[in-house]
Amino acid sequence: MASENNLSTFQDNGVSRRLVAANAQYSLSDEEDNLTPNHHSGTQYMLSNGDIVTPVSQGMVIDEMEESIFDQSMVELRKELPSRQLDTLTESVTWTSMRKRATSIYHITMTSNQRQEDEIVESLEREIDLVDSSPQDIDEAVRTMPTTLSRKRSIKRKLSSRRKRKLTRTKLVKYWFAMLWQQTKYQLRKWRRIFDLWSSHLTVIEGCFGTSVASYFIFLKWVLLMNIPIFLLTFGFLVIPQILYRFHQLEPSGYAGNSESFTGIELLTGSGFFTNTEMYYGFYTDKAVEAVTNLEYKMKYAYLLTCGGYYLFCLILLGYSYLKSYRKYYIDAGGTISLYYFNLVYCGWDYGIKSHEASVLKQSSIYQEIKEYLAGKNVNQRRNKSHQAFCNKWAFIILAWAVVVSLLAASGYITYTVSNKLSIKTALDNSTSIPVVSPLAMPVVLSSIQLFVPMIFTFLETSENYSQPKYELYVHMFRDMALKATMLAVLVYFWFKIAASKLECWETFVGEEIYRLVIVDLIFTLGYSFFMEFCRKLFSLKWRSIERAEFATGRHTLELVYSQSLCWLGLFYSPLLPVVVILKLIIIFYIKRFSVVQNCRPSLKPWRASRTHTIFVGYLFIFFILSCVAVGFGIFLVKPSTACGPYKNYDTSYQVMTDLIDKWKADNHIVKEIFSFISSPGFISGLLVFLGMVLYYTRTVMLSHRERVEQFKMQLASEGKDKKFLLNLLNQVRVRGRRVSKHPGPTLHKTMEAISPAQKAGGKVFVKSVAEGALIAPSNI
Amino acid sequence: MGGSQSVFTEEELDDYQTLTYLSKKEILHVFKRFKSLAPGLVDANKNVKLPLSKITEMPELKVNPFRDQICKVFSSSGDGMTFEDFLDMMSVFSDGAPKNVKVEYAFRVYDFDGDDLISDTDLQNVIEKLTGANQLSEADMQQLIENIMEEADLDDDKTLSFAEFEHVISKAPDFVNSFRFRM
Repeated sequence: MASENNLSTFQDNGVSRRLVAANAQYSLSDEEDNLTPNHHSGTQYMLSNGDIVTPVSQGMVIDEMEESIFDQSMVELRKELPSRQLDTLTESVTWTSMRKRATSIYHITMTSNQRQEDEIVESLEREIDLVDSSPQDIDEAVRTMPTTLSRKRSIKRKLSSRRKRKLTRTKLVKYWFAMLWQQTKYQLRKWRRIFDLWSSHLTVIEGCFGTSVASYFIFLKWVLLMNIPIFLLTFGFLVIPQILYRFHQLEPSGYAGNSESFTGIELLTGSGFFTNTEMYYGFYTDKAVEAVTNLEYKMKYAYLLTCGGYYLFCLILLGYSYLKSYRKYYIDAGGTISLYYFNLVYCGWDYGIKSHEASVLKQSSIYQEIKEYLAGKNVNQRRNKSHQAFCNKWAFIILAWAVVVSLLAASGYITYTVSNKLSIKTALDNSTSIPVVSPLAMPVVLSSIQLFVPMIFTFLETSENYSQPKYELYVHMFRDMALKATMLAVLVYFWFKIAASKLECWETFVGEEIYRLVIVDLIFTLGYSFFMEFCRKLFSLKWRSIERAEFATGRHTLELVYSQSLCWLGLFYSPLLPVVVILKLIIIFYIKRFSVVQNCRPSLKPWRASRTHTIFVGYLFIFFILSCVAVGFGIFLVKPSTACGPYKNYDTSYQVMTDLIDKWKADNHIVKEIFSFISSPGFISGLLVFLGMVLYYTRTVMLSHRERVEQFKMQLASEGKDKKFLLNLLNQVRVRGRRVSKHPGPTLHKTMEAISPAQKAGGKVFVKSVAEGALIAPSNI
Repeated sequence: MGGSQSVFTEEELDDYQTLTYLSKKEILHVFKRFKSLAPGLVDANKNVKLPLSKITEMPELKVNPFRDQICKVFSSSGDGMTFEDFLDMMSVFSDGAPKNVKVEYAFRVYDFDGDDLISDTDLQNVIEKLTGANQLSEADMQQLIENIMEEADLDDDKTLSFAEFEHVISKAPDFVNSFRFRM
């Protein structure tokens, strides 16, 4: 059939024309159909007999007299669409504000012309008149329009000039405040650039290696920025008062009283000159600092409260960051459909890549991944699990885990022994100890264990033969972190039980130990960089067979988590530790940044940056909680030393606070009443019940939202069926249309009536019944 | 950047700042980059239209397999980019652009024939450009296209409309991170 013939049938047959016009008019979303015309002017539909049909946009002429019948039949038609059958969804059209409108995209095709944009501008103008929108909303709406800058500028001019409404005084004030707020926002945005330290370095790294390696450096930067407020807190509230005390009240004042002199070795061991300085807990006084007359600064309370302050700050920051990450990567992306292939193709290319080598590698890595995925699908189907292989596999896994647990136990035992035999000797007066080796023995042993045991883990994992490489990575990370946690737990136990009973000033000892751990960790990290990366590069230049190293992002990030958890553990016992950690992070950043660019090659393996970021922040959070628990244990349960520190002569450090509260209670009757009320069982249980209710309520809301999301998904799927339904209808009516008279309305009515009762089910069944109805209908006329 | 400060009036900079997602400093930085592509031409006339061959000299675009399509999408006249087009492009690819704007432009970039739908041929084009030198076999290509359509095509018409594309790509957590140029 020639296409002109079809066209003529088109023009003759009013119904088909209506349907075509209807199809072009109704887009997928219903609410906007009075406001946003559909722009799919170029779509083509293929009818069942193979003809290609291009529906014309609604610029077509529709006869006036058939307008009313047209509208009515369209309303009926709409009622019958499969997607309308879901009664549970409300159909009210909500007026969204201009700002909300701005976030919905006006989809303009690439071949958009002035007319379409004028229509959009008209709709925007209508909204301005109806809804009271501020200049910001207009700006926002214009900014999101996906068109060129010059057109946006002209649209903005047009819209701004339209707003010639009479401004009352309240409105003027409101707009003035809004403009002020806008200005402050811009200023804040400018000031935020200050926190963009190292951005040039990050650009270089990302250009060469992509987002996977860059994510390590971004994580480092974030940890550094988190440590800065902690440092400021401790410095402002603890160190400065103590320095004032040292110069005003201490006998003898200044540094004269320090028995040791400063030799360079203190930077390594942390003891010696540093022992009696603000570096450690032991030096802090339990008296009140009086730098200015009659103003007392009680160090006891300040120490505990500052401790509570920075832990609370970290908790809020970490919790917020983890939740944000979790929400972004799990909830928003969650759904019943898995999107491997789509994501691979459409999110696979990293637009930030700048170097040719990285782009070639990226292309090969995408190619490999595609091949792997396609092959993996087939392999999984073909794998037949024999019973024997199954038993073997599980036996091997259990064996592997047994080996891991025994390794953990062994490392714990080694740590304990070394601490007992060597570390503690330096602090005990009546024993022999080698000057530098003894104190450093424990950290060196610890770091060496952390270097070598994961290699055993890696060997175990390759033999365990996991089905997917990502499981291997997760298991390895878990085992690595378990090792670190075990060793730290053993150390904490040793410090609180053994060292606390044997030593005079055990808190300073703990602080020194942690300082040494941090320093040795830094040395080992630099050593790793030097040997694994730099030397390998030298070797690769000499011998072709050795390749340059890849940057082990996962391993390094976990090291960062470990070092930060050391910082949290040691904060209470060594208030100046954040300084050390900040300096350490800066050194590590620069060394690693230059090492990675000079010595490493980009990796071929794909890296799921989003998912692993959530995992890293999760580990950081877990280790933070563990450190808090450990330090809390120390504060609440362990007896402070009697010779030094702000809490000598108390049974526990926390006793200071309970004494304070008792004093308040004794002094003031009202405070006593308040406290007895707060600590009464009735109040506490009431509070718990209330919290439980809040929890239950939010959970119910979450469940209902989830259900709603499911319904919307069903709605989406069935809206897709609308198009098929209309096409089928179009086809059926067009085929029969030649026999039908020129009045379109009744045909449609009759067709609709013939389908009675209208089936409520959507989908193919419904379409079939309508098609059949359309077949029967002409015989009724 | 002292020289480029005097090229724009305050009003122009303000305008650019409201209409794009960049701050004034970033806009000047973008101008600097634009100038570095063809210093002589831009010095003479800041609204000069640079040919696409010069634009693709930019490091990010040079190694990007979709560079021709990106230039085509952002150039208002089709045969070259003025500074405003360039600014537009950098604004969309910046960190400040919201997801829906990026999705809109991503759809245009990936829709090679400009018919407002992503069809099989468009998909094939994308995959070929992505894998570069290593080409997938015919069977693999077909299988891959089928899988993608299965995941994303909700109404079974064998093409991806903008709504379907937006629906699926909004769920991808990596999209915003990958679809940007670092300043």
